[in-house]
Amino acid sequence: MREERLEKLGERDEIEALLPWYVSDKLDAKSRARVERYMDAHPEVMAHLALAREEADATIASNEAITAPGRDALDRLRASIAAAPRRRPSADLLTQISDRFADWLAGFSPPQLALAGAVAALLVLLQAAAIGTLIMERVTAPSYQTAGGEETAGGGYELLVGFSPTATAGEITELLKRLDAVLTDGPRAGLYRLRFPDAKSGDEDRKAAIEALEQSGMVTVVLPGR
Amino acid sequence: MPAQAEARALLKAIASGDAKALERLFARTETRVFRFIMRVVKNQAIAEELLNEVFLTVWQNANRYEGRSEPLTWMLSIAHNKAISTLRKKTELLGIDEEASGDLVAEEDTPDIAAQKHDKSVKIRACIAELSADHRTVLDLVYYQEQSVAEVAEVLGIPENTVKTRMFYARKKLSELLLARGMDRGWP
Repeated sequence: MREERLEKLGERDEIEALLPWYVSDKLDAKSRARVERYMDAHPEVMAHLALAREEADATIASNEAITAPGRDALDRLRASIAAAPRRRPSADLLTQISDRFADWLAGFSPPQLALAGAVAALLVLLQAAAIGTLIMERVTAPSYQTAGGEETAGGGYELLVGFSPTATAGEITELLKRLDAVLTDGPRAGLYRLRFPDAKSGDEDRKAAIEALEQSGMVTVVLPGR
Repeated sequence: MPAQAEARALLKAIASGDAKALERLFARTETRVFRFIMRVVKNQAIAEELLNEVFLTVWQNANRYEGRSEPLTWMLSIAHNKAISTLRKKTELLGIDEEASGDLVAEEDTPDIAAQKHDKSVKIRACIAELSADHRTVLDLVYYQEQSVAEVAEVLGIPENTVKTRMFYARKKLSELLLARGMDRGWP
């Protein structure tokens, strides 16, 4: 999909790209007016609305052909939420973490506490070690080469990220692949430095990356880097 | 109360620990979310498991929902992350590149469908099924899930311009597949 990001559409192609939203009535007023102005000037594009409507009908039919989930789906969800811990409402991150830790510790007798503390520390160390492997793999990979083959710090931007304690190295690797990001440093004060080498430094790209990270369920905090 | 406003109210109740509100949100949105997952992973059992994970994540993270997007967009974003993550694991385990193997994701023809191959709608459906997961997903998000450009960008975690470009290439590829089946759409 990288080639799609690099290739900018011409005006005619962009109008064609917007037609699906036009027929779905999901365009904002400005874009809608733009499509209509273009169709007034180029009536042949009007005929292409029918193509988009055909695509819409076929897509809706394909989705509606999928049978709904089984009847036990709700029972399964009830069982899952009964077994799962929840985040505390409207508490800041540090409070949430300390509260959860306190709840967890409350369930142990004093002799168990020493062992539990050691296990918790070990889990944090194991996650840091696993993520550290990713940093080494990525740093040694030739991912910052220009067309001329020279290594460079390149463009893009950086973010500082704290990973959820439950995120595995495999899940983090997949998240990084999907976002075209690399880990370059960390942890420092629990935060890792994430670089987006191929991204433009514009606000739109950066905002999209921050939202994607926040919604992944794998990060606890995202802060601006460089 | 409009559906999205009701969903926002339910999320607020879920954030305060109301399990019944989660059940109501589940009842209202499970089919849409499930179909979205199914279109990516193509497996009923896996899709049901991921559906459960999505709503479990909603239960655990409702207090982090800030209302910047519609609830369905937020849930589809969670579903997309989980579905893509599962698909990648499957690809790594089985060594099958789903993106490069359209035949593997094509909907299987029933005798009835095979008999109707002349039908334009059936041809379009078959060709949509042959698109890559990325291209098919953008069509699903717009035509079935009724998401705007900005909402698709949020679900997929990509810039809005990339969404438009991806939509253009998805439609172009669809036209090429239809042409190969003898249906010239006259575009591009």
